[in-house]
Amino acid sequence: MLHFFWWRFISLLFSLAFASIVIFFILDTLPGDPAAFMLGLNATEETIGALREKLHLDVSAVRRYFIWIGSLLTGDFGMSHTYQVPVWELIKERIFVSFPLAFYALLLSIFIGFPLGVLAAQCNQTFLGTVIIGTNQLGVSVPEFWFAILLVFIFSILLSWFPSGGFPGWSEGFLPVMKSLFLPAVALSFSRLSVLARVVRFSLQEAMSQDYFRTALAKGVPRSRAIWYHALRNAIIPLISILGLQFSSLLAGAIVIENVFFLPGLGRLVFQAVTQRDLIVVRGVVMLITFAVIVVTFLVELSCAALDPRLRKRIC
Amino acid sequence: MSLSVEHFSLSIGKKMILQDISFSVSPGEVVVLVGESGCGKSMTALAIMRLLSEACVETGRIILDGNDLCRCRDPELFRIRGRDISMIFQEPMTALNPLMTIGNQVAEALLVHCQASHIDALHIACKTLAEVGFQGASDFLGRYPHELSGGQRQRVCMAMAIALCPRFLLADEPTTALDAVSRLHICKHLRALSVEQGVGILLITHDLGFASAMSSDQVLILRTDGILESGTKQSLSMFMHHDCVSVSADFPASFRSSLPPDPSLPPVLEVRDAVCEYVSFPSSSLFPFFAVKDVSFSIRKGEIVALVGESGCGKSTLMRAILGLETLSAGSVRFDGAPIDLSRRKVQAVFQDPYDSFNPRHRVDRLVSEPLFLLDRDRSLCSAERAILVEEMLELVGLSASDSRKYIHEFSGGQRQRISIARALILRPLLIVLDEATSALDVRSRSHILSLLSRLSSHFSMAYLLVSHDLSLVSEVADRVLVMKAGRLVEEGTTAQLFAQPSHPYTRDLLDAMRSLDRG
Repeated sequence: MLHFFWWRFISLLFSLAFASIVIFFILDTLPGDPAAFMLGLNATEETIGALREKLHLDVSAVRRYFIWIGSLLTGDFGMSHTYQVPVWELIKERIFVSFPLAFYALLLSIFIGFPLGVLAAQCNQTFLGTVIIGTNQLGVSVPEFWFAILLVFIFSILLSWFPSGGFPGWSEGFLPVMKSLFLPAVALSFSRLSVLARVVRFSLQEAMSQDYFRTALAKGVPRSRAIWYHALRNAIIPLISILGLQFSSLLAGAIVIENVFFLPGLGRLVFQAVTQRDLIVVRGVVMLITFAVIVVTFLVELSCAALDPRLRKRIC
Repeated sequence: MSLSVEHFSLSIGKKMILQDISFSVSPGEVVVLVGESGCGKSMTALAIMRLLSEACVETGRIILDGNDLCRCRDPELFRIRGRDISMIFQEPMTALNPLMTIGNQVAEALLVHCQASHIDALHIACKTLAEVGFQGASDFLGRYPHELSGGQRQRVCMAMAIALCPRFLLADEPTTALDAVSRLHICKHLRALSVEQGVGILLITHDLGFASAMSSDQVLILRTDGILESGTKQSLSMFMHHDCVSVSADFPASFRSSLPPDPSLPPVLEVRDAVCEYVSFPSSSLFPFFAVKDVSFSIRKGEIVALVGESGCGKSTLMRAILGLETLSAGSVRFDGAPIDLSRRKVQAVFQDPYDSFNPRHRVDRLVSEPLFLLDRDRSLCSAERAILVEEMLELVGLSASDSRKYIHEFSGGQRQRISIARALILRPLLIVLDEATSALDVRSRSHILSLLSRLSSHFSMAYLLVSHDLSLVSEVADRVLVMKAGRLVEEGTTAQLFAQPSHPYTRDLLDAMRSLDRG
């Protein structure tokens, strides 16, 4: 297992290095002058020259890459051109919205989708099972933004249980934050929990039709224990991969929902930075999200290997 | 105090599986249930365990201690299963949970039934594993099923079934995956269970040597139409005799190539100093485990060579290495002087399990014609030519041309094995590797398959490499025998010479085990 860990860890470092190269060179060395691009058509020669110096455009691209990496490693993401504040400050603010939101939505989809899937697997071809499957179909097919607007209409405007948007900030305390993130999280999790429930239902049914499940029953293991110890443990491996993918997509993919609820998240930051041609911010945020996705993938692989001895062996 | 099945009928959809069968098993008694594959033997056992799928419609009663199991509710059944009645399943490869150590899987029955502590349960599990023939059982407790060979897994299944000393044991083909020595061991152990501990055993088998060796008191023969006939040991020998006659009639004396292969011909297959080593972590690379060590042999055109050895000795690894499915750590494998990558179409394989070696979503014509993609591009066939070739192959192996549009689940085990052979033959290879190709079949299908192979061998002068632990089969079929133990070839010789004068003590053990099983 330790060997497996180091193997994966080294490959994590490689992917990070590779991703940083790709991100850097796509945004930095594409045709055209980045400084002129960022400043727009009306910029004077002097301002462009000043920005070029700030961006180290006067040295070679390779050298610039190492300057960038070096400052990233010390936590310096550079200075945003449009906001004139350090990029890290911008990101820090947004992270405390985006991460909790992603986590919140993920927890909702696990705690609702997982039991639903387990239930649906067991009451296959009954009324309850059909209802669950039908709801799942709906969840997969309803567009996120429409569902979000529907939630706002019902729970904010009609019932006024939750705020319709905005983010109070963590200084206001835990509960108001949770309250303001609740509707966005529900909107984000609806389609994801449906996918999750479908995967759980399918892989659990698959596992329950396997011979080892029958063997467990033949030993006199009660059905509930057989499902928990034998079927679920086998069914959970594809599930972990799905969860990893979902978390990654939630981090940066919540732009639409962030816009509907006026949340200052990472998705909106990237969107604004792109429209304002602030390449420094774009680069920083994209690198950070890539880092998060690679780390999540690493964790997914480790937990799959911890569960399945055959995966460990294949790498060794 | 006995287990009895009374007027039990079972059907799935419109198909009648069992018709009004009745029998009983008393404590200490061994009842043998024989029948062709697909006649419903396993369904009988599953019905007693109450593990049938919901699609089955049943009538009749299954009585244990005056209780009708058909009417028992789940909690009662959980108490009965494993403690009063337990079962050894047929497929050792899939019957174990791949994510649990075997120690935990054996201990689970004890945890569930006796509220034993985990340590105690593991302790008993270790003892049970030793009982079923694991030497150094404590080393095995922490292993996972994929680290064991088929025979070892079968013994784990057996340990699971007997860990709680049940009163009745349903053994569904407990020895199909085992070599002669382990078979004898399991046989002795089952007999000891019934004699010393008074366990009533229902033994389902198509291995008639094993059935008669169990010196059973009562023999049941299940016909293909689902009707049960009962008899005594004599009727078993008659049933056996009937099959033996058909087997020997199907084996012409010329099964073996009539002329010894010309030694001057270049070999079809040449294996030289093959080594397969597994380095396991965390134990260091100082002690690598050699699955195959320094194996060299060759096979000439039209020759039938058998590779025998106990389960876990490296037979399957060697076979996989020959097929290029496993990389060799050292040494070489050559077909007609070329490595496997260049001669893929000169060698084909028929695998042990006729159930798992087909894609269930493809029709037979696609399954059988699949190897054709190995042909050179300029020789590739149009779809009409393919269809004709597939039909020809199906007819050659004794199926009909109309079968080509069916799916694989519509066939029985024996028919599927024929389809495997058709798939292997379609390229007219020089060598076919048969990995226990007949062990999952009943006597009758086995004899059909063997005579088919013999006809094909003389027809196309193909060579076979027969991986088997069935020595009686080997003695009838093979020209030459290779004996393998712990990854090395320990003896090699012509069949007659090796069976008459085995020189290695291990070969002698194997032969003794086979003979004592045959004598019963």
